[in-house]
Amino acid sequence: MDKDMLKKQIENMKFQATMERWPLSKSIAAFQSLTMDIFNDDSKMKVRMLVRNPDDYMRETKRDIHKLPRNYDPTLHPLEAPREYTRALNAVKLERVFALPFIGSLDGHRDGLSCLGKNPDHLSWLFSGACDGELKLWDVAKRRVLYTVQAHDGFVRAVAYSQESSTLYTVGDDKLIKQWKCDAEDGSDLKAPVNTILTSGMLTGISPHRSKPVLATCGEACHLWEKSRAQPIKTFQWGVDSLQSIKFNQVEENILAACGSDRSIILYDMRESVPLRKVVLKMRSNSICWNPMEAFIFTAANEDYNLYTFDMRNLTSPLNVHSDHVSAVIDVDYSPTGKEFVSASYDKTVRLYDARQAHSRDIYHTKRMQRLTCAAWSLDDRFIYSGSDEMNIRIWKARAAEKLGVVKPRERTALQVNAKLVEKFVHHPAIKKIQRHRHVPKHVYNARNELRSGRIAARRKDYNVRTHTKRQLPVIPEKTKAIVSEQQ
Amino acid sequence: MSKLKILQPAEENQEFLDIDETASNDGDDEQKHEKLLNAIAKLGKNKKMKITQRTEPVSKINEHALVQIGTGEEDSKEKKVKVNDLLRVIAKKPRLGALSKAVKKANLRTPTLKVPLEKPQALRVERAAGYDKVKEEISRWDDTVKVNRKAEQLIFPLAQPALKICSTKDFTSKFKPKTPLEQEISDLLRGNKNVQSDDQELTPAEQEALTSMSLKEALERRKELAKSRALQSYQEAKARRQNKIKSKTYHRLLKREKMKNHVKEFEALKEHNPQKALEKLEQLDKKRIEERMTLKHKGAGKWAKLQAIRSKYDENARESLADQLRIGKEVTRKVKKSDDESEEDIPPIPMEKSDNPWLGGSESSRPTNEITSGYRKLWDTVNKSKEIKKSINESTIVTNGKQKKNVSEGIIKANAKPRNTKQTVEIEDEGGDPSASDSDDNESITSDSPEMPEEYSEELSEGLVRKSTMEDFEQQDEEIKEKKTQRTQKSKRKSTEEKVSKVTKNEKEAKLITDIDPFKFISMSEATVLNSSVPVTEEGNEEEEDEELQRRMTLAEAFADDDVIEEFKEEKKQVVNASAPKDIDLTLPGWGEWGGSGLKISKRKKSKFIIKAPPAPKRRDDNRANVIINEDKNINMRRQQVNDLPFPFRSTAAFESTIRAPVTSTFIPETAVRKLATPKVITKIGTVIAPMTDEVLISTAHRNIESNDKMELEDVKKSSKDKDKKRKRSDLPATPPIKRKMRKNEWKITDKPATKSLKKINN
Repeated sequence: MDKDMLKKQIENMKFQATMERWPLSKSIAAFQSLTMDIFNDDSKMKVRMLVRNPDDYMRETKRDIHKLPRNYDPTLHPLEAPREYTRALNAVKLERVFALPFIGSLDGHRDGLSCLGKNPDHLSWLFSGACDGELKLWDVAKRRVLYTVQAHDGFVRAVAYSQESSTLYTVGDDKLIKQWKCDAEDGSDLKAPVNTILTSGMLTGISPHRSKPVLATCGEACHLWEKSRAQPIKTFQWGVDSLQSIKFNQVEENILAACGSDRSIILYDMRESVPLRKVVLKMRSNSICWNPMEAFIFTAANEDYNLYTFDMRNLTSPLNVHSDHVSAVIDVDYSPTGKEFVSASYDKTVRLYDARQAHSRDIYHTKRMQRLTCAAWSLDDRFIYSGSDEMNIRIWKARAAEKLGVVKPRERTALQVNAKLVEKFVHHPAIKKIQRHRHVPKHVYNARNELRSGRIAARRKDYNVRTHTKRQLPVIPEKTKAIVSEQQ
Repeated sequence: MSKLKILQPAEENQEFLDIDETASNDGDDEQKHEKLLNAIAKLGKNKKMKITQRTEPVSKINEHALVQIGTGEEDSKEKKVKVNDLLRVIAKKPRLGALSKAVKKANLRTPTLKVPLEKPQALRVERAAGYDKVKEEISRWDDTVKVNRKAEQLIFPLAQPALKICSTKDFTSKFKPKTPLEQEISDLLRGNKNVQSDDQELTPAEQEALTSMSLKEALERRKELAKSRALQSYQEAKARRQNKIKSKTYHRLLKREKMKNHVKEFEALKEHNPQKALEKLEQLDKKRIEERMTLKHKGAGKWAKLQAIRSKYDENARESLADQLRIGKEVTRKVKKSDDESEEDIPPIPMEKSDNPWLGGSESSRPTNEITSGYRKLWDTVNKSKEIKKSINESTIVTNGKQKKNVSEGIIKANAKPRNTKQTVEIEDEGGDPSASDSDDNESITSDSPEMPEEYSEELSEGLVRKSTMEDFEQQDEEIKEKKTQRTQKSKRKSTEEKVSKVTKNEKEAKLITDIDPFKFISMSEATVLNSSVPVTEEGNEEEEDEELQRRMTLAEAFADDDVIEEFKEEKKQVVNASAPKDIDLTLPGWGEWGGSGLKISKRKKSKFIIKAPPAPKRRDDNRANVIINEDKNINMRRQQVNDLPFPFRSTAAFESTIRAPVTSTFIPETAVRKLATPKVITKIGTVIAPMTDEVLISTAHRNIESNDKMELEDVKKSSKDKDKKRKRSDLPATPPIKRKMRKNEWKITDKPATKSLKKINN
């Protein structure tokens, strides 16, 4: 029994009883004496009148919502925080209820996907290259193929759209760089390449300059091409190993980054004759992506299940290590806002990361999705495309619980308030648990546990070694453990 | 073996013998032996392998039997022949002048190119240089990135078209004349007095016209000025004249006159304007300070020194010197007001009447004076009691007459061997009260032995514990009386009645004043207490007494304001009471009975409707006086709460405040909710967000500058309500470095257009 409540109730009742016993004549007398006092007193006494202005409570039109006068005095709302907590709990539950990120899949390829390309001029267009050399142009909004062309013999290694020349570039295993025109609304320009360059070495990646007619390809070395020439205008070589991914910086346009199979990430400046710098990690990086909003930030998807975000100016230690994948990370792409990125992994999952957080904010997977080969974040920051081995492209929502249709203002504010509530109470265990909880495939779950036990064992061993050796062992921060060396 | 020996050829034996012999021979033989060894060594080996070993240090001798310079032990530098030495000879022959010139030219050091670095090294250098360059270049994005990261809200795409309508004011503020006509007009307008500014009603010309004087006024003013100037010059001349007068008496008289005037003024001010009088007094006091700074009356002057020498023989000199020193002392002496005076000077602040016993303003509590001056009075009484004790002792000594000597002896002996002297013990027995009380005092201060200052404690408890009823007071008085009587009885046993009466009187006085209850102190270790049983002589005793009192004072001061233990007890009591279950009264007045005022609820009803609370469960801290154990802790509740301070917060207070601040519209207005709930990133569906461009860089820089300016302007508005709102930039508070950087960037980028416009102006 709640003693306080009971006590209060009883007191209330007592008070009422005393009031009942208070005779009317007495109260009238009391009022009279009071008024007499007031009039006798020389000092000013304000008598407040009750005012009822229709403007305060009447609706102007029938369609208006009713005004709800409220007293915001906090003393009248002693249970503010608990009530908001409950609301936050409901909000976070609702968010999980509505978290249905999968929108649909685009199937039609006859072999595994190898690469995806976005088109900044056509938001709904998506290029995809497959392992059998097929290139498809998709209309994502209608979820259908616009055009299909056999682009290369063997893999289509990379697809990239150049806004400068509004053409598409592809490279394939047949050592060809092909330039495609895509002006026509139905994509029929893709019938035949506009230009083809036959190169001497194998090619694995391509990236066009943002504003100049320059291309960068990687393979045995990093080559810079000009659109009209058959020979590379510049070649950067550092060491003998091949490169598997190359990207132009979109903000500081002359800078490039590539990752090599000698476990290195190499930075280039298009204007220089030599590369700039190289950082060697413990394992190979598969892909690299520059932050489109922060010129000096890039993220590399690594074989050691992690992603590494670097500040280009300080390669000795990464800014952040994004873990959570349980197998090699194959591809990474930044959201156009530069606040988040998506990673596609060999563990058959797509993960979304806050660019400045170490752990993923969400994980997307379906039963039938196989090893992922590529991922892309749509240019309006709403969708994520993922291509996988089993020949499908999948479309996901970038924010799992977001409503995609028309959102009326009141609904929008409600959603925003809910988000704010969750943000406010997110540190409370119950809410945090609900917010963080994701169902993951069994193999991911098991692998995660396995990895965790391995980590714990390693840590224990490290502790033991430290405690039982006489000489002082250097403390290496977790971040820099993956860095082997920075080479000039 | 013997057979073998026999079988050995005789020649070999011979040889062995030979070797032995050679070994015993002289150096010649040794050389031979060496040769032999060499020959043997040569037999099987190539000649090239032969290494000659020099046995003696001999300077190399060339074929011309000339000693090569530089090989010898002497300093080679001195002996080496240089080209210049040879040239000296040539210089005499003009025929060979060309040769000498050629040699000189050859000697001039010609710079040679360095050997180029090896390729990998060179590449490394090149790469490092390139990297540094790029690093610097890319750092220009720092500020933009920082701003975007910190931004409360970002709306993508960042480069939004400017929808702001430019007002005329903005336009005019930014407008710069370009064409010659515009230039001319602006020149005309700029310095013109007839142009009206925004914030003023009149043009400068108009204002001038308004404020200007008429001719008459101007003449009058001029006259006035001339007059005042003339007066000033007279005054100055007079002062100069007076300064020139060398007569000391004149100056002294002048000074005295001045001083008198000052004092008179002071007296006059004292009555009318005490504030100014005080200032005046300070001014007068300055004289003392100045005197202290000079060496005038310190006996350091020439005259003083001379007098000092003379003073040995001359009485007058001595006197004058002493006189001077006295003056110096007098002048430098700080004028001290006695304490009583100061007390009298400051009028007692009339306290508001309140029930707070600590404030002492209530009727029930003692008068303020007694409390505030308690310590002083305590001191006074203590001193008095000491004097009285002394007098008593003296009197006893006098009465004992002959014993006086013995006493002194006894004191000495007591210092050496305390217990052995009987006499001292006796004496102490006779005048023993002080010492006894002493030891008791010791105990009372530091330990909670209840023996001694009962009077003190009684008084103190009166001071500290609030007396709610009159009965309390009476009861206490009785108790005090009882204890007093007990005490007097005890003392009767100990000493003569006179002394007792005197001492108790003193103690009574003391009792009136003390403020602190010694029993309410937290007990300290007794190690600090000098509780020796050694009989102590009067002198030593007094000193100790002083120390004790000192300690008492410090303790009293330390605990003057708080009563920790009592508070704690009270708190615990409250906690226990709160946790205990209480009777639940379910009686409803007027239910089943007659209603109305003044009616009592019947016993039957009470017994029926009051649910009696079960006896309180045992508490874990029941038997522990110094602990409160909270038993309300709820584990289930704990699980729902935040354990650690979450990351971005620095303090629990900050975190708690965020939790406390409501965000939903039930508790705060709708507008506030909207403001609070705005998302950090806003994107529009179907809108392509392009990567960052230079334009954004510029616009963010602009935005920053604008916002800064706005803030600055606001600051200015807030800080000063002066009429001149337009200030120069240099007047504004210095902008932080980030902003300056941004400005620099902006300047860099907009460099070209600016120069263009300048050129146009030049044209």
